[in-house]
Amino acid sequence: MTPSPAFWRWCALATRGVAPGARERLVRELEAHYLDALEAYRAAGCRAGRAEQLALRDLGDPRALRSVYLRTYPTEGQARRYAAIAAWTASGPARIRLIGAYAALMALGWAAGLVAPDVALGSALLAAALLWLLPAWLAARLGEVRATLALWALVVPWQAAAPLWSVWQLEGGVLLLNALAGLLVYALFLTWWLGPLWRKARFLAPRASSGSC
Amino acid sequence: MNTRPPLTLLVLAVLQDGPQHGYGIARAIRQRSGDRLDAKEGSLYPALHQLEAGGLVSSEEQHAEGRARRTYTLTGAGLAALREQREGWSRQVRAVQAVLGTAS
Repeated sequence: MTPSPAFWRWCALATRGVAPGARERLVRELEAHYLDALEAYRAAGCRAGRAEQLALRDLGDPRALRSVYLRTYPTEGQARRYAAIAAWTASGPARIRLIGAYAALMALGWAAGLVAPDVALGSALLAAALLWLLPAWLAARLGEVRATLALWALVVPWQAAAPLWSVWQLEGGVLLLNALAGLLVYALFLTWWLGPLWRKARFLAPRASSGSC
Repeated sequence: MNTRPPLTLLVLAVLQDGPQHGYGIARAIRQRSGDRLDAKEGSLYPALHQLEAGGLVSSEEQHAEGRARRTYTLTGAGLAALREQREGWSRQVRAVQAVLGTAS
């Protein structure tokens, strides 16, 4: 027994835009599900055409399911972005350490400047310790790519919110606008670019595939 | 307020009885609920894959009768999550019943 053309049209509509790896597994399981349902309806006495209609109806509306699939699985664009980040991460762990060092230095410089402007030596020593510890600590707990994403999440706000660091140099109204713009950039970065990759990273980590549909 | 049981709770409850593939899980949910719960079966697989990514179920692809089926099994973490979600759902049901009881 093989799926009808109507099933493949349903699949194409429901999984359009899902990244290839996730799409292959999903389609393989939907196909097995559909064939099991078809067998059950035929065994219950339905004619072939009617059984196919019922089996497809049970799967649900492909357009509604497409939005569920795109929320759950990585999209084609997200998979390409993740692959680029993974390649960059694997090409040189020192790059991750560099970003970690930058984030640590910025954080410590800001904190030290608030407490005591003359504690440069203490800040530098603590930053040196963090240079080694932070990236490795994150990578051990999160995996290399997620560690990269976490370090970028630390680094970006420092750039996006830069006007806040020069509070004494700006007029009130300009400061507010710059601060809002910086926060907006960071919010967009987190929710649109980094957040979905972070959430879907578990579907993007390489796994052994057992054939294609 | 969400009054429908989460799909993940239903899936974990079905898998507590033993490994099952997707169609079997959907059929079990339908049969046990007396056809009252009829979540569209295409939405079952995102739930299963998320449970697997979270370590609450494991899966294995098996070939039988010329067809490849992926069978899902509840893990220890899944059993603990099931107990927790079941208790949470029971609390929610008791709360609703308390309101209905007060309103009558």
